[in-house]
Amino acid sequence: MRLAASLAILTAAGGLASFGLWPNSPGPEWQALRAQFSDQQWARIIRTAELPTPNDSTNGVFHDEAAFVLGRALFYETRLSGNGEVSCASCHDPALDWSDGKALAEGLEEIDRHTPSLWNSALNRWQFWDGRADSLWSQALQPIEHPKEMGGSREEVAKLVLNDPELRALYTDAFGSAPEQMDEPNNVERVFVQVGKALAAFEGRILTPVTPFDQFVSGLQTGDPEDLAALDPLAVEGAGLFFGEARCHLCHHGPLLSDMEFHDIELPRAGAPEPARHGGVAKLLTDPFNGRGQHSDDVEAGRERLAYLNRAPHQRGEWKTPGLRNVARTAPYMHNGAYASLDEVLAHYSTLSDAPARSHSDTQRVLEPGHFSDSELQALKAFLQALSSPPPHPSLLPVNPKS
Amino acid sequence: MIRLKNSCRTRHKKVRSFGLLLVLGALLGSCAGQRQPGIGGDGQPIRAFKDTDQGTFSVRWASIPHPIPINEPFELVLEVLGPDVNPLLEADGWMPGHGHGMVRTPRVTPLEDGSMGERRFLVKGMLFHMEGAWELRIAIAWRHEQGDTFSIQRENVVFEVEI
Repeated sequence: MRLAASLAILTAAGGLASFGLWPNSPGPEWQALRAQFSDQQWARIIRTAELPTPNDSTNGVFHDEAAFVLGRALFYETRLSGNGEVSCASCHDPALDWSDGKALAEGLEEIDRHTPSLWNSALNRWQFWDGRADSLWSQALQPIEHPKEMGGSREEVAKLVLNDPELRALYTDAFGSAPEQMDEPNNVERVFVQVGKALAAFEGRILTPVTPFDQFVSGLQTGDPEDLAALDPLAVEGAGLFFGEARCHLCHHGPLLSDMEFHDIELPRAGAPEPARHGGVAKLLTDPFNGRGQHSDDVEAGRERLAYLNRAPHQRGEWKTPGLRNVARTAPYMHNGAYASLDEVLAHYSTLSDAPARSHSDTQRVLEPGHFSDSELQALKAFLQALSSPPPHPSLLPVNPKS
Repeated sequence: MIRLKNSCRTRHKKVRSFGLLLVLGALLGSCAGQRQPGIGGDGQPIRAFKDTDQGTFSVRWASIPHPIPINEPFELVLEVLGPDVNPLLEADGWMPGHGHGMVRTPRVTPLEDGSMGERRFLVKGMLFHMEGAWELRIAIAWRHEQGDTFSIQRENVVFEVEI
């Protein structure tokens, strides 16, 4: 079977060459790599190619340039917070790969969640570690009003946007007009929602540029020796493990290297598991800003997103699988910042020695100790480091950074 | 659940997605008297019917799209042979090697009966979010009357699916 598939791929490669789609026959580098990976590993690696283009029809300005400009201004705007000192960028710092480098996020106070990086967040199926938001725009609204994060209010946000000449002009550019009266609750809520949609238009462009691994995958598809050399042998070995016997690919697959769903990976904890996805589903279904609510620009699509959600006891302790692009630069790790380094993460998966006694998740058998050797750990780490992209595009940085 | 007895013209009005319409047309056959029930369209293998655990019904299925994509929503068309009892269907997925199921609860709605009298159903909301061996689990329930009393009967059939 494997031989037949390999021959088929080789034949296909020859066919591409004969039609001029592949300028040269696959060289020895490609042949060696093809022999190094099984058919399944090969297919899994190829499936990581090319990030999809994000879209959100519940946000009518998601692709709008003026909304992006407003969103960029708002993202770096500390006046959205209750004390005027915290912005989205306080925790999602572009210089720190849209995270903060801390185990636990600190807004007005420390909270019990690690700040996830915003890289590729527009491609998530669900937002937050517990998935309690179904769009970037509805996600963006929650930290603003969270008493420990930004401590702001929709009323104060609406006042700021409508009274500040620069923000008001940007808002008018993005949405055509701005309410004159702020004393009506509907106006306040409408402006607040548009703030979220503008923030999402900005965050939707925070997409990882091409990584060495992407270049390598391109090489696998084209045979280009230069692309194939983008990964050193240790990282190639790590890729083989990651998409093979280490079984990382079970949850970390596809272009994001995430299944975008929720799992209990047996992290150390004190006491019973947190509500996690179980609580997230309940919050999502009752969120007035979800995709099927009155503020959605595509209620039908929003209904479809939420139509088949289930809620079950095993979801307690299950957190969202993060994407792995730029993972080497976004320490600490896990929803609670439990691990300070990739080495610690890999050690957990290797031994599960710090896992709590099994309780609710007895039936799940996804996670088993990897028992990785030192050289395998180094190879896996080298592969994860090869998922690092160049820094954010300058257009995503503040236009007039305040000193 | 009431079985649909609509004409082909009416059925077409109920199908909102043009892509779905195309696939259903190819998959299930249609008013033109093409292959009924049509499993095997869209490049799919012609799957044999499989009996439920008590043998009351026989079931087969096709996916839309084919093959089933990893971590992307898909739909199923189910075909059921058996007694005329207006069955209610449930569909679910399970990974026996992992000990967990899907992250969604699919919904089953009836389609127009096939030309051989087989009942057909559309399953929406399927998602196999992980690669590997899945079980496609179909449950069929129906009302069984005996004199003045009735009971709810239930039978199951499981298909093994590798994605």
